[in-house]
Amino acid sequence: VDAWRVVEANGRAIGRSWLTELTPSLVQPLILAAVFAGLVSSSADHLSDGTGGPTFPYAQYVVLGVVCASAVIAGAIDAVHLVFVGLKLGNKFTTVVTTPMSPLNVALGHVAWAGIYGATLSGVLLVILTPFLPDGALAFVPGAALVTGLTTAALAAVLAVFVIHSSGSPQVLNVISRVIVPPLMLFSATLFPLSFVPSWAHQALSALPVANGTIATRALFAGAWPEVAAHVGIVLGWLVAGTALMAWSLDRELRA
Amino acid sequence: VTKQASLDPHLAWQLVWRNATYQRRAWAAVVTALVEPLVYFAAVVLGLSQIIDAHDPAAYARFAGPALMAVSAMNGAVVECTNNVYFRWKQGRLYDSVLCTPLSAADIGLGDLMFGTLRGWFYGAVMLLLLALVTATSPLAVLCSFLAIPLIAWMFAALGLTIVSMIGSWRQLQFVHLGFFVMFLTANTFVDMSGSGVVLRTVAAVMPLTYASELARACSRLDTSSMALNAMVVVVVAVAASVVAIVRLSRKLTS
Repeated sequence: VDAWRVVEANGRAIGRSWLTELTPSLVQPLILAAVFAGLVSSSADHLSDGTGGPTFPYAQYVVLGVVCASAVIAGAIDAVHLVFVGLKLGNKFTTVVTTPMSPLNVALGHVAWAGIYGATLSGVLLVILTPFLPDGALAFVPGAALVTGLTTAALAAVLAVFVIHSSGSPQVLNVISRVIVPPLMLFSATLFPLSFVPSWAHQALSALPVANGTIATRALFAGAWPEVAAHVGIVLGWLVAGTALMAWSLDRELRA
Repeated sequence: VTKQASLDPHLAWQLVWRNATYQRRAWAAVVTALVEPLVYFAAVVLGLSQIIDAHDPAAYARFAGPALMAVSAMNGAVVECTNNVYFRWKQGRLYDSVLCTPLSAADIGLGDLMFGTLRGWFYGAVMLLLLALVTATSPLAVLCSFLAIPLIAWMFAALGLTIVSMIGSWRQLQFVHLGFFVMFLTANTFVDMSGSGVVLRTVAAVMPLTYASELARACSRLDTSSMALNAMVVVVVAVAASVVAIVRLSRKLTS
């Protein structure tokens, strides 16, 4: 219940400026998906995320990849921005933990907010892009939104740990949005399979939550349940570890 | 002639020097802005080029690479002349202090325009260096491209400054950047829109980035007629936008 108050507060904050907050999050992935799906749909064969895995026409491959990765990143950045403002800029968290709310509640609230943001955004985008998806795709949208939401929450927790341990300079947000996010956005099995990148990058990316979330979302639309379970398992591992680490870091930072 | 109406490049250069000195301390922000076009270029080289043309992957890198160089120059100039100018003007109130010195409002506009152009030139040059290494561009083409980058950066610095003179709040900047992102994706950067429908062709034809990308491509293949045509468009837009930007900024700063 206490953690849910954080979700409500974040929801109210975005409600005051929903047009400027949500327009880029909706328009950017739509344009990105349209351009890249149109770019090679005529020349590319079907693509697969792994040997023996489900294959997709390029347009579907890109639409699913871009929607999942964009929603994950938009949701995680929003949550991390709120953590930065609450902890480093406005010292709001210092006040919050003098109430019955604990650092764990604050961490859980932000992670839950990120998950809800990512799930909602991906759900809306997938419904808009249904004509580009496989037949009967609407039935899979809630499942895909859930997978994307879990991935968003996992990434938000990990990035929040990075922010909590930073010096407090706004440069940390700059580093996240300009250095960490672009490679995650483009190389997490978004526009092409992980096998296209050098093996060291392949290994690193395939361990991260965004690539696993993207591949799981795509596998879900093909009904490849063992693949979905394997990749969601990795995402859940990140989510649990990231949230625990975030709560511990926040607790330490607020006691210091 | 009032101080606000005078234009002295030597005084404007003082503002360029001030901005450069200040940004030396914020070098991380300058460097991180380079990453995005580099990542897109890596995506083109590693992935998209193989999907589009498995027989000659370098062909697509040669198509998209010069356009990404133009995008790099655009990003540098636009970030400087929108976010940073807005911050100096509205948040930091720097220009109120600057107007107490011998600099006029027009000098401030010119100084910011020059600094935005230099920043865009730097970003474009870094991208050009990478492009030259990956696609084995000839030295003459590299030289041509290096000289074309400041024209591209000037155009976008002027457009950025014009836009920032029109906006009223920080939130509107988000829509400005969304507009530039849409232009980035639809202005012949990754796809040649000439084969698309009339709507997409028209959209691409009115985007300034289309001409900047074509200029960069013409330089990379040393196509002089295309170079002259696109350079002319870029310079005309740059001159017109510079005049509008400096006049509007001067009026706003002195009103």
